[in-house]
Amino acid sequence: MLSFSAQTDSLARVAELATQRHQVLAHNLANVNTQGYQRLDANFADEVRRQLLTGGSLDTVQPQVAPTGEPTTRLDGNNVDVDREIGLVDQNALLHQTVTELLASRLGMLRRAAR
Amino acid sequence: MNLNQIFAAADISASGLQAERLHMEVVANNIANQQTTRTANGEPYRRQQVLLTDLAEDGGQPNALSGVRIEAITPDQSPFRSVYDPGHPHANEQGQVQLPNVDLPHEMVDLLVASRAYESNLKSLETFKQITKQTLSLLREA
Repeated sequence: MLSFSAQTDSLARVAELATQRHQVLAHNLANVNTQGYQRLDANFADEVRRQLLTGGSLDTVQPQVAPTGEPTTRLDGNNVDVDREIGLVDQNALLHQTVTELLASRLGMLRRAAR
Repeated sequence: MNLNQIFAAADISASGLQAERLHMEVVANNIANQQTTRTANGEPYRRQQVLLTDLAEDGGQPNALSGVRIEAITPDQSPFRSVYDPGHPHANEQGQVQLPNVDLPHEMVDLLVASRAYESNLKSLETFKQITKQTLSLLREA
């Protein structure tokens, strides 16, 4: 079990990682009509899970930005699928919303205790 | 974290919006000039197309990504259409008039593609705004 402040730090770090992933997904959407562009993704979920299971810190978790190498059916070689990308943007925003709500409740607890 | 990187996602989406808007403008220009038989260089209007490149510096970090760049607007080198219309002022001795290499169905599809891409960038920008507002709401007294 993590301490209160370690939990707060972890939540803040996940929110930061989600913001960084949003940047990568936005980059994919910006390049949806770029000839030959290969979509990138920043996977951090596996690393976060591993650190949490082993009791490590999330500070060292860095998003791994890499081409995902998915196949394409398009003539220009671009493998960005708009609908899938929007789905991932929404999913990522929901993750961000979840951790932010948790952070808000934690900060609320602190405020109540301080009163 | 660098201060001007906080809102980098907004810049990325804005670059996409800008590129797709230009794409739509070029398509609109092609459609408007589909019957233009003379331009400044004496030829019929030549179809224009947009060339985009991605802006990613090496380093593999999200902060190295900066969206899309408009590389060039290049002319389409495919041959002009030719129709028999001897009464046309730009007809040659054989009565043939050269028409622009603009194909309306092609342009309509391009327009649709650009407009959908524009919408997706807008959606991404809105999501980023929502994420940022949510984070800022932590500062408010609950």
